[in-house]
Amino acid sequence: MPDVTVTIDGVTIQVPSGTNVVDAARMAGVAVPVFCYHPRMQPVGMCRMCLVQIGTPRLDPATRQPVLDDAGRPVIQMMPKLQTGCTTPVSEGMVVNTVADEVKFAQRGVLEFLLTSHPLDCPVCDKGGECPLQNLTMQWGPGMSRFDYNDKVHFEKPVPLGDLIYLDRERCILCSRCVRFQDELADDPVLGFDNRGRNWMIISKSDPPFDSKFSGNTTDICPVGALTSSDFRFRARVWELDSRPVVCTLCPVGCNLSLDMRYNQLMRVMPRENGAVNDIWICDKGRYGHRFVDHESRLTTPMLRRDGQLVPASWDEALALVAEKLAAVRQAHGGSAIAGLAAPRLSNEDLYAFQKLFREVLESNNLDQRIGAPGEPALDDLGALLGPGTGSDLAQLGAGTTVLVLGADPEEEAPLYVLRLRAMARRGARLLVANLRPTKLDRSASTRLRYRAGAELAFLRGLLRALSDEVGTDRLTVKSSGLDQLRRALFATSLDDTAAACGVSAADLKAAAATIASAEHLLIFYGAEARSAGPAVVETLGALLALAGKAGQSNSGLIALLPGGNSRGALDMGVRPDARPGYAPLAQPTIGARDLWNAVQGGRVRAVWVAGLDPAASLPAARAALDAAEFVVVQDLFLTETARLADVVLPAASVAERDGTYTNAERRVQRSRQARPPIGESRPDWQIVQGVAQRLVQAWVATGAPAVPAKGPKDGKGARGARGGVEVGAVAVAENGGWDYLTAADVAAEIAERVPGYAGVTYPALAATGKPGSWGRQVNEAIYYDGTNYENTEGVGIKLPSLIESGRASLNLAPLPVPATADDRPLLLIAQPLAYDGDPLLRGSRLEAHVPEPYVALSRADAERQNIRPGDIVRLASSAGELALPARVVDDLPQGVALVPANLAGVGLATVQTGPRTRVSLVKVVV
Amino acid sequence: MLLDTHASEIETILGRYASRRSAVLPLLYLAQDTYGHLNDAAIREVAAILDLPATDVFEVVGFYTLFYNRPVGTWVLQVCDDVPCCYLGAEELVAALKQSLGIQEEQTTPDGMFTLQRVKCLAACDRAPVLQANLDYVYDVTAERVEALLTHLRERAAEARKRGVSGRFAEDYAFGADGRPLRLEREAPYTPRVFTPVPPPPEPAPMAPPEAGTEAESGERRVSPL
Ligand code: SF4
Ligand code: SF4
Ligand code: FES
Ligand code: FES
Repeated sequence: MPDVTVTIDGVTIQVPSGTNVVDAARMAGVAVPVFCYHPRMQPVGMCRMCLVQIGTPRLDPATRQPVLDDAGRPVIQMMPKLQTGCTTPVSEGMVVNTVADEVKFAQRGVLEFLLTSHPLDCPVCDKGGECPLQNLTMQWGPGMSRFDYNDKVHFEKPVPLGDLIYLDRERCILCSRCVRFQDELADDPVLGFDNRGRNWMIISKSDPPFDSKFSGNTTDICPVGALTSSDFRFRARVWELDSRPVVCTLCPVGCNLSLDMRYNQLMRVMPRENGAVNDIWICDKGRYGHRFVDHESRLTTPMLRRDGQLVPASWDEALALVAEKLAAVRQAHGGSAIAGLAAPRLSNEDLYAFQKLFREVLESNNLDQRIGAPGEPALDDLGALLGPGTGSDLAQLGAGTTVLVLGADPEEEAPLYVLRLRAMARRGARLLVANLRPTKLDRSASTRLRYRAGAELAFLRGLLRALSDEVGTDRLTVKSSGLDQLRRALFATSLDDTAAACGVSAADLKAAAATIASAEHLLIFYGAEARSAGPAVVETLGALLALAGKAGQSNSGLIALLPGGNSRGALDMGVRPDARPGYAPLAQPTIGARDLWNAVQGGRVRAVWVAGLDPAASLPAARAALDAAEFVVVQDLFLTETARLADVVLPAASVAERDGTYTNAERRVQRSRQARPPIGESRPDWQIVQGVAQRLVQAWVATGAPAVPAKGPKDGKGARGARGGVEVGAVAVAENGGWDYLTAADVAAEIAERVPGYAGVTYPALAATGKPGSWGRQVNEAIYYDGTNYENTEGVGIKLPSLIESGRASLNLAPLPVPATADDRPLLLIAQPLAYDGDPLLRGSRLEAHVPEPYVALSRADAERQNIRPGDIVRLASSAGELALPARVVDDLPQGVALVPANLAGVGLATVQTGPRTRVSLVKVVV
Repeated sequence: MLLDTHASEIETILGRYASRRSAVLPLLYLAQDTYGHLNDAAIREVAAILDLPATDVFEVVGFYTLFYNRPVGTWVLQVCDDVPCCYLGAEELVAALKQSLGIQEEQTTPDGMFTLQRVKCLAACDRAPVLQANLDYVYDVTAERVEALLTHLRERAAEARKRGVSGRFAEDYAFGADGRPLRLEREAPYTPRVFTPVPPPPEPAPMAPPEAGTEAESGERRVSPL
């Protein structure tokens, strides 16, 4: 957009046309006070706080040219009345005066009016100290009011808008920021205004009330203390709080958080601005779901099993015992008799150290980040191979971008992406949402595509076929193989047949392909539903990106929504049975979680180390195996079901108690800082690992027994297809086998040196990514807009290059064989990920009340066929087993699909699942 | 459920609008007339029919005073107490109604027959004092006519229940020679009333000394020479 020259309080600047006067003034270094205007939302002009004097060059009616004065300057004609700056776009030659007496008079008047019905209960108001109303009154308001204090209106307060957010009607200045946030940004239109005049009030009539995963953000942008969190009400005064920069590990978005601490106690969680990740928002899971760090059930000391009982012990005892037992197992049965599982929410440092201990000290590759449940899909490599390229920044994307969201429910899997996707769509991106069932994101889509359940591969092949009809294969520039096989598969059937098979018309496929072909940037999000359909689906998404010519490009790529806050980091770090750090494949895959429990029962694996996972809780096979195993170590925050079976339990420090880096779904590495000392004697996971490693190394050295492989990873060349790995040099390893990290930064430095793709990602480099400038505040400006400090002192993180872009890998386009299923049970059982599920990290939070009771969701047609009503108990039977659950009848679920929440305590999905998708039959249980 | 009892009516209403949500007001009236007032369930029902967020429909109900979100009587009496009506006895009318019904404003009689409200100008100042009973206009309701009016309304209770409180089929009433309210024919279809301009006063005759006695007897309006 062309620039427009305006003069504001004597400062002449150029601003993009379309900018409003408030923002233009901000660019000129002039603060215009606002209440209802928020830079992330459309202006509405409701509060009148931003009144300014505006003049424009007078035009000669005949020539439409500016009239000039004697000095040759345009004559400025002031508008007869003050204008609201937030709703007035700038125009060429505009002159704005924000300090005229008239303006000051108006500002004082507006504030005096706002305060007529304001209770002035700042001393007991949570917003006190970071309240725009306080601040603007101090700076622009009248010192006195002409209204009688006794005339103030009083209302009953607080009114719960839901169980998380409380409304104080007396404080509300009716700016509608909260309503607009919910309508425009979150697309949860659950807030509104009731009544009129003095009785105007915010209401929420959704069922349950204030039904939104983003509700907490309204408390940040509310310019007064009208909306407060039940989670923080009356807990602390904001000026007592010390904000510590942390990264959210509750989902793969990796939102930037501030943990607001008073002394060493977590008082509240606030968003920290990062334009590339979460802008200034976070979801309620991140905001309210961190009470686990203070939960009374946190483990505080190591424990050993003595006479069948777990009893407290010292770290020395515990670590020595672990080292001794593991050494013994290795001695007797070799490293391959030891297996390790580590949670994909742990930091990169933890995960790197964990796999290093296994690979280099214990000489075992039996590693995994899963628990071996039948429902777990294959590990995702494509999100790294074809991830968004260097320099990608979702905040910059709009018109010219096409986003395909396939088989994902971002609201549940990675909530903040809903806001990001909607923001891109608002800026003009085209959003194609393809799903087998409707999700909330459908409402924001420019195109909705509904394929038949189980026909996702046909759908994608159809799309790919239509794309190659449109653009051929010339755009394929990245290193690849298998194009011919792909072509053969695509052209084996006609587009019409494919369309018929997937239930999306050929015309729709062509239109979607055209949208993809014409895009300057192409992002493809895929989630649990897509991944459950098998690796062939994900591979086809990769082919789609590559044929569209977008593989390895900045702002284009695949983004996988995986469970676990650092799932990409866990894959990058090689916590998996089939590859080393950096996706370097092992010649021989070893025992992963899926085979582990059998291997334990069969005696091939004798010792198991579980960090942060709880297989025993949901997997009977795991429970039995852990019971039978020779030696089990568990390190966790809580005494989980698995920990109860352990021989040694080691207390781990939570994300709030340690430094670490985390890699998000787009492969952006971000640093999280320690917010307080570890609880009790708990320690960061990497330290625990190092404690055992050091003892083992010493033992090896002392006994002269099995040699310590004092060298880098054997296959130091990095990812598959690499030629002459450059990233990985031989790292000098000291006698202690390289186990002398003093801080997490030391581990990170080694990761930067040794893990392909992480070169340069050190703590100093992360810190140097600087303050993000997208909010572009002037000093103290936050108080005008939001009151809340979103300040980010930690930088925006480092976006890793995709593997394909770094040239170390090539893309295999040959279609994977699709295993045929012979099962003819009528329904397809799919596990449905929920944001509020049985995650033990939700404990102690108010979100626990939002975790649903177990259920199976059925389509109306399927329910009616068997006369099933909501609440009836139905039995699902597969070739593996049976499961009885109460039914929910969902109108918009397609026939033939049964959804069961993926991770709810007590559901026992594993008993019935045969894989990520399971064919089941259904009977109503008659009681 | 409205969809069961009023399916075709709802169909017709929806058919009138290009977008579904535009039908919110007529559907709310329909719901109000069916259920007597708009309780939570009724509002949610309308939201479901229109596929609107429930909160949006609650907002509409809260905004318009003619949607009753609390139970009201069979007849809602809305008495105009704006200035012209006041001059002609609105306060006396309200007092008489309160006296006769034994209730205050915004209350409903125990038998559920009447709810009393004050409202501002009903745009019928030429027939003040005015009230509306379920939006039926009643003109020239002086305090003395209250009993006759209430009797009349009680007689029409069954009809009121059938028509509902929203006044979608409202009529006009005035008091006949027998002192009972009488339904007035509406000019249907509405034709703008033709106003015959009042003839300008005759030019004052050139000043002449008035003849003695004429002024008092004539009774004619005298044109002031000033
Ligand atoms: S609650 Fe806060 S954000 Fe919402 S309208 Fe009131 S003052 Fe504005
Ligand atoms: S969207 Fe994900 S990363 Fe962001 S706050 Fe929510 S749970 Fe945490
Ligand atoms: S009217 Fe402009 S900020 Fe409210
Ligand atoms: S003042 Fe009563 S109708 Fe106008």
